[in-house]
Formats: sequence, structure tokens, C-alpha cells
Amino acid sequence: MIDTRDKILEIAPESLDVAAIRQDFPILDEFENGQKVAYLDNGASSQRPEQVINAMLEYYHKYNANIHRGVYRWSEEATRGYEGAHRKVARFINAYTPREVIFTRNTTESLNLVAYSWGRANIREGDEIVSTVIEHHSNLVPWQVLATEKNAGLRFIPMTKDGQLDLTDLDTIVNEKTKLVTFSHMSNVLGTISPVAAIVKRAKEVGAVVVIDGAQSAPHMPVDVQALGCDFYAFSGHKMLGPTGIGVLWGRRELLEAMPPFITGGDMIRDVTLARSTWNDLPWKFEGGTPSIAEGIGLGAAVDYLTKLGMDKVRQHEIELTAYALEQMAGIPDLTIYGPTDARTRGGIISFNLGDVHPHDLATMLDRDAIAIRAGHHCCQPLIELLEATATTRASFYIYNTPEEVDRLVAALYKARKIFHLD
Amino acid sequence: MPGETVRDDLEMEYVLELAAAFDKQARGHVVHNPDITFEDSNPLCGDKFKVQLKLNEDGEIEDVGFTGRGCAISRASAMVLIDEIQGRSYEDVDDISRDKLIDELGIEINSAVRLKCAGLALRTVKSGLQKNGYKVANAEEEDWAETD
Repeated sequence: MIDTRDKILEIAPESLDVAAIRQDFPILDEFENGQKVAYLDNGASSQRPEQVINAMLEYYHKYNANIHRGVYRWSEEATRGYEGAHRKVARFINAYTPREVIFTRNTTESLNLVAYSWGRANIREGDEIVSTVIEHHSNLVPWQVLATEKNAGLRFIPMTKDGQLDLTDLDTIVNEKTKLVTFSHMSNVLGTISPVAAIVKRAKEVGAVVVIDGAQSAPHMPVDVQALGCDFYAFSGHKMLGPTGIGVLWGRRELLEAMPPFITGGDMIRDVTLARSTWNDLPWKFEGGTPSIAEGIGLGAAVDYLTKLGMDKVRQHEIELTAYALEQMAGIPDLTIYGPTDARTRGGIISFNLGDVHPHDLATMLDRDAIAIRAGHHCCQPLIELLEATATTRASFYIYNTPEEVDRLVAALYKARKIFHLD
Repeated sequence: MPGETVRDDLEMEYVLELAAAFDKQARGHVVHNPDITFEDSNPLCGDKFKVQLKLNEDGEIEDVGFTGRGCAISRASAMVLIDEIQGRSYEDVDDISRDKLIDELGIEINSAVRLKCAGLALRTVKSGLQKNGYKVANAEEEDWAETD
């Protein structure tokens, strides 16, 4: 079979200065049960550095006001901060223009925006929408709803045994009926990085629009939306050092211009009469109502922080840490690790099960050693079924995690084997 | 190793014993002509319990059976619950709270998520009774996380 995986970044830049980075995250000095918390649940949400917290504090302390309306200095400064954050994000993902960057609440809302606005205007009876079996519920349910409403078909790209998307039948799954293809850039359960180029190529052959769920990729690897060749790219602020309540939808300008608005009301209009309204310019047409201003400013600061570190270095750090973790965990008896074993083909996410111990029980044991991991179905019930598990335990890394924290996880897993009588 | 205490092992030991007892005695036990069949799940992990109850005309619970899957804490608390309600009136179910079950388990649960595990069986039984016209207090509220 032809290797359809994208070329993974092979450069080896200097490593991140993790000790210096940790200084920016005071929460990492907090103690639980007598030890510092090993925070290994970054796939769910990251921590925020002082720089992000301070940027939001400064807004509240010094220039808190609504944007786009006031003609006094505070409001103008707030507008600058909020609009400036769009520009920062645009540079971060190499968008053509900040007008293509829409701030939402999170990835879920970004994907719903596409489903409701683009989807309802363009999907017709008999059309097909293609997703994959590994998706987070947020990139599955909106398309189920849309397909049901429009009497359209919903097809899925399957998965190979080692957790890669299986493109063997791609040419039949994506066909002339396909109007939209949507998939996650990086699996939030397996960490698998999707073969973007091959899927985009096939989608474009049949003229389908491509949506990428970047919730797990944008925080952890360099992303260039122009190079990816997709039409929409969605991600969340809180998984990439930013606050909760702010997410991003990037879309191609010509598509966004043609789309009807999603949330209507304040700030998204140009002219309003009692009978009808016209829409504001991009991206405001899609940002109805007072937005999350402090959170937008916070996201801008998060992007600054990551940009300063360099996303290639962030990726390299996680490859190294994941490779180390996979190596250490491979020796633990009764431990099943899901997904590919080569750290260069996956992100810093490791899902596993220890014997038949329920992930919740395992997570409780790890919590007693101040190790924060996730247990459950990770909002991916169809994928968990395919893994023939009821749930998994998941460790996920970020810029501040260390090999010592991996060692603590491994030691705690050995201890759990004893407690649950696996030895 | 830091954090490795005898307490962890002992605490979990009792929960594991109860969970094993649940698997042996109650899980898969089929109730003949049940009056109530009700399924509930923990949306956070997908764990699921289906309860079957047989009640006599006095409203006493004559037989209880569970099917489904759950973690050790949810299964152990189900075992404690079964011991509490078997042969008792449905009205007595009202006196059983999630906290009471956790006391019986002898463990401390701080996590809001794990509290839902400990309460799954109770919620399934209470909701099943309620949906079938028996007056018991609302079990849903108990699942709501609280701040100090």
C-alpha cells in the first residue's frame, strides 16, 4: 500500500527550555496530595501562562469597554486589542487576511457555524457528506443533524488496525455526490495525524468543500491553512494556552462572503430597517452580539507566546516526550496502548488501558499520586467502540511537561497493577 | 515512592471486593416478570446500568437485577444499594442518598466525576421507580456538582 501520510516535520531544532517555560505557569507549582501536579490532560484543556492571564487582567483593570462602538479611548483600545488578536491568529495559521478569521466560543461552535450556515445553504437531498470514524462528537453530530434535515447521505472513512485513517476506498467514499469532506487533523484519542494532502486532493477532484477540525493540531504543530488546502479550519483557544470561551473558524473568503450569517443581531449588521437587514463585513458578519473581548485578547497573547517559542520547537518537544513515554510504557505488563507507535506520526496523546481495570478507577488511583489524566470515551464513542473498549485512559502532553512527569506516570501504573491485583 | 500508602491499597481492596460481589450476585441476574425495567448511563464515560425491579402489592422490592457495565466504584455502590433495598418498601429508597452509599464504601470521593459513578445505580433505581409512577424524591439533583 502506498504511504499516504503527510511528510512529518523532520527538522531537529533546539529543544524548548522547559524549565523557563514552567516559570510562566504558576499553577504547575500547586500541590495535591503532597506533590506537584503532573498535568497530563492537555488534550482536554491546557494551562495558561502569566502572559495570557495578565493580558486579560490588564483589559479588565485598565481599559474595559465594549468594542466597535465607543469613541472614547478605552473602547478604542479594546477594539484594537480584539481586532489585533484576529490579526495575530491570521499570521499564526497563515491565513490570507484577518477577515477570514472568525472568533467563536470553541471548536464545536466553529463546526456548527459551517454546518448551519454553509451546510444549510449548499447541501441538498441526495448529496453526501463524508466524515471519518475517528471524529470527536463535535465533528460528527452537526453533520448528522444536517444530513437528517436535508435527507443527505453521511459516509465515513474507516480506520486501519493501528489507528490510521484507511484511504483504501477513498475514491468510492468521496465521489461525485460528495459536497463536503470533514475530518480531524489530529485524533484526540489516538493522537494520529491525518493524511491531509491525500484527502484534500480527492475532495478537490470532486469539487467538495473540505473542513478540518484542528482542535488538537493547532496547539501542537505548525499549521498553514494555505498549504493544507482546506476550505475551513476550526480550533479552540483553551487547548493552546488561551482562555475558555474563545475559538476560531478560519474560512476561505469567497466562501464566507457567500454564506448567510449564523447568529444574527447586534454588531453583525450593516443597515437595519424594520423589514430587512444587510450584513457587516467579514469577520463581524459571523460575530453577532458582544463577543468574548477579554478572551479574544487572551487568545492573542497565547498566540504571541506560542509564536515566540516557535511551533516547530513545540512539535519537536512533543515528539521527544511522546517517544520517551511510549518507550517507558511499552514495558508495563497488561498495558494496551492504542494507536500508532511511531511518535513522528502522532501527536502527544497516548490512550491506554491497564488490563481490565476501568479507566475511571485507574484515573482515581493516578489522581492520588497527583497525576492528572483523562478517563472516559473522550467524546468519541464510535471510535472507542471500534477499539473494542468501553473507555480509555489518556495522557496528553504540552510544552511544560517533562520526562520526570512521564516517569511518575509509569511508576503509578506499576503501582496500580498491584492495587488491582494484576501482578 | 511518594504517595504510596497502605491506605490506598486497603480502601480500594474493599471496593474491589464489593464490585466482585456485584458481578457474581447481581450482574446478569434476571428478574422474572419485572414491574420496572429502566436504563441509565453516565454520559461522561458511557457506563450503563439497566435495572429490573419486582415489587409486590405492598410496594416492597422483592427482586433486583442489574445488567450493564461500570467501574469498580459504580459496581460496588450498586452492591451496597441492592443490600439496602432488597425486601424493603420503595419508600425506603427515598432515605438512601449517594453520600450514604459512599460512607458504606468506606472511601473518600472528592471528584465530581467519580461522585456520578457512585450515584449511577441509585439514580437508575430512583428514576426507574419515578418513571413508573412511584413517588420518590428526584435523584437528578443529587448529581449536580456543588461549590462551597
